[in-house]
This record gives sequence, C-alpha cells and structure tokens, in this order.
Amino acid sequence: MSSHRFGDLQALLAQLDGRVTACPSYADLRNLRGLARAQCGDALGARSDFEQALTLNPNYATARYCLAWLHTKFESTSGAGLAVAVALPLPAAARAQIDFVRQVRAGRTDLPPAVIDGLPVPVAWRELDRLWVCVLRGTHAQAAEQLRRVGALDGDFPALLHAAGMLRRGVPDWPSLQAWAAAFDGNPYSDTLGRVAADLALAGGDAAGARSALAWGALLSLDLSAYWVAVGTQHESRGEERAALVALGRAVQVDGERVEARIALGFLFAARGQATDAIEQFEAASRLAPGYADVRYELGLLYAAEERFDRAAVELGAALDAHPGYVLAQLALGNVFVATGRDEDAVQLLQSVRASGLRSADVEATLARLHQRLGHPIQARRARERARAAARGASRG
Amino acid sequence: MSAQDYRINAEVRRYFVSRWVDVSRLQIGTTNGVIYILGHFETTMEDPRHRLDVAQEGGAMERLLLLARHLERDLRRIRDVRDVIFKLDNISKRGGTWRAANGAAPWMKTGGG
Repeated sequence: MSSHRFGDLQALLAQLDGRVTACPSYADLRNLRGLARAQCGDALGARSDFEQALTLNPNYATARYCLAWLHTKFESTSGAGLAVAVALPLPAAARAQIDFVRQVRAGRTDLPPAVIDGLPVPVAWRELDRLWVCVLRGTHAQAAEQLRRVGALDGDFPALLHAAGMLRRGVPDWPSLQAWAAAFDGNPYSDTLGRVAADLALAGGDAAGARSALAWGALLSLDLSAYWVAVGTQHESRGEERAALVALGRAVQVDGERVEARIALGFLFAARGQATDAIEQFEAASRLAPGYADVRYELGLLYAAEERFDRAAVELGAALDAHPGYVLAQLALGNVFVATGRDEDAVQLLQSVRASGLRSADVEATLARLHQRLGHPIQARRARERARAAARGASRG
Repeated sequence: MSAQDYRINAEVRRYFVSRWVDVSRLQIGTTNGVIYILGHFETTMEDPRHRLDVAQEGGAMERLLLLARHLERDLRRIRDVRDVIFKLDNISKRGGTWRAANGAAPWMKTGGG
C-alpha cells in the first residue's frame, strides 16, 4: 500500500532510506524504516531492519515486539509456519498481544469479547483490538459502538476521529476505518510513522498536513499523550510558549507515567524560569526511569541553580553512574564540589573533563585556582598556561 | 551552575529544537556563562529549510556547516554568554571556519556568470 492517510508513504520511506544511510548505527531509524517497509508490504525488508535494530541495541523492546509482530505476517501470508518470535524475550503482556494478532490473522475473527478483555495489555490497546476485529468482521454496528466507547475515553477524542476522517458528521466512514485497520495491523507502534510524517509536513510548511498526520498517528495507538507531546514540541519550536504549555500539560494529564511528556514539560518550565515546576516534572521522570542519565543530569543542574548542592551532587552522581562518560555531568559535579569546598574531588573531575578532549579556558582557570588552594604551584602555573592557550585559540576561532 | 546558567541552557535547547537540531545526540550544558556543546551534530530531518520551489545549492554537509555557523552566532548573542565551546565528532571549527571532521573544505558560494 503506497497510498496512505499519512500522506505519501513512498516519499516517507525514501526520506528514511536517506537517514539510515547517513546514520547506519542508529537503532531507532532502523526500527522506523522497518515499520514503513511493513506498511508498504515489504515484509522481508522490514524484518532485516528490525533484526538490525536489535543487533545495534539488544535491549530495544519496541524492535523486539515489531519483529515478533512481523513474524505473524509471515505465518499468515507464506504459510511457512515460522516459529513464534524465534524465542525473542517478550514481556507476558506483549506475548499475549502477539498471540492475539496471530489468531486474528489466522481468521479467528470470531474471538469473543471475553478473550480480548482477558488480554493483559493496557486498556487503550484492548479498545483498538476490539475495533480492529469488528472492522475485519465487517460488523458495522459493533464497530460504531466501539468508536463511541473509544470516544468516551477522552473528551477530545471525537475531534481526532473527525480530523482523521474516521467519523464524518458523527457517522463512521467505512473506507477510512478499513484503511485504518490495514495500517494498524495489530501493531500500536505504527503511530511513530505519523509523528515522523508530521515533522516532515511541518518542515515543508504544510501545517494542516502535519496536524492531520499527528491525528492519524494518535489514532493508530490511542496514545494521546504522545500526540500532545508532539503538538507541544511543535508549538515550542515556533516560540508559542502558552500553546506549548497547554499541550504538554495535557500530555502529562492524560498519561502521567509517560517519561517523554514529563521531560518535555520540565524543559519548558525551566525555559520559562519556573524552576520548582521543572524540578517536579524531572523528579517524576526520574521515579519512572531512575537510570535515565539525562534526567538525573538536568535535575542536578536545577538543584545546583537553587544552591541545593547536596541534592545536586546526588543527581549528578547518579547521572555518571548511568553514563560514566557523561562529560558535562563531570563538569557540573566538579563545579558543585568547587562550590562546597571539596577541592580534591573537584580537581579529579575537572581533570577527567580535560582528558575527554574538551578545551576550555574556564575549566583550566578553575583548575588553576584549585591547585593554588591545594598548595600545588606547579600544577597551578601549568593550568594558567593552558587557560591562556585555550583563550587564544577561542579568540582566533 | 547558577540560575543564570540554567536560563541560558534552556534558551540554547530552544534554539536547537526550533532549528530541528537532533538534541538527543548532543550533550548541552552551561557553566559560568560558557556554553558547551558535545556529541554528534545533525538535524532531525534531511533539510528542515527545504522548499520544493527553492533551489538549494550544496549538499547536506554544507547545509549542516551553515547551520552550525548560524547557531554559533546566535548562541553568542544570548545575554550573559561569555563563550561557546563545541566538541563535535562530525564537524569542527578550525581557523575560524566550520569544516567536516574529515577536513573537507566548506562550500564556497560561486560567483555568477
């Protein structure tokens, strides 16, 4: 299928080909292109991309799900009877979802609601699975009822359904629903294609097309939080802070456990000078993803800005535990140690920063002061010379 | 890190996001008014300024170098910024000129005629 509600899927695929060529070791791009290839009917190409994504990042859960999902396509189209997911480790919920998709592809459209309700997956996915089965059965009355149930999940959802053409004057549009069923195909991660298509449309000056693609992407997964994060990011990139605040606030309200929503809102609050609100969002993100180095780093910066150096040291230390090569976290923690009089610890960290190849007159000047305080005159002199050299290099550059 | 540094840092992120720079591949930090940009510099799409009706000279690297030059200029204009230090693995500034990391010469606009 090359004609698609996202817009020109072949053009999107060409863009992704270019991106993968430019960044061959970026696992996310491989997974994204795999989804696009699957949408265009290139199952073998899609499998290659998902497998390559997993080679690049063996812990990439989404790619693992997509590969298992794609195997269900092979089973139904080729009849080759491929082993389920080739022993890919999947959480129980994801494996149950894959088994459900396999049964639907095998023609088990008579699955009773109780089977669907018994799936240990998030509520939103079950609602989409219900809709998918109804559309595949051709039972229009049940599909219409399901759309009403989906609309009841959120007051803004009927507007999204209209924006994506699935409702026209409140009445389901069956060709659109069938196109949706083909695009959804039992894989909620297909919504990422909508976001990429929306970014491309916006870059091309097609704001209406961008909003339409976002709406379509949101519908594919019922992932309203991701939709609002994308909308908020677009507003923020255009300097529309108030609209961005509304959209990102909505993203957190819809799904408070979505890390990217918390982070996006945290950055927006920080940019507006609302440090306390920013800390609240990053703390929430940190609870959801304690190993996320960037979140711990940003929290460390915020606490340091508030002169809460003890908390800053904890957060920056956690960032370095998660990512030992995080140069800016080393620099920030070094400056925290300077502020709290831990001169020797500060010297150690700032020397690590210098060893990373970063040439900074400011870092060398700080090292010079520290060495002077610690009674190391030779090291202090050398640091001052390096500071002058770095400053000369900067002025020439 | 002061509140001023955090304000500058937030402004830097906004500049990057508004110009479609892929911040997920960068470390961005500000200390004592000095902005540090480390990592891999690229945009989130092939050419965020591309318009079908506008001919674009030069390839992707030239556009990236031009973007880096404009960004550096804009970052230095932010209030209270003392310096901007880049340590990127795909482009660098040498002798006052932005170049690809492999040393390829930057795009030079040819004269008419």
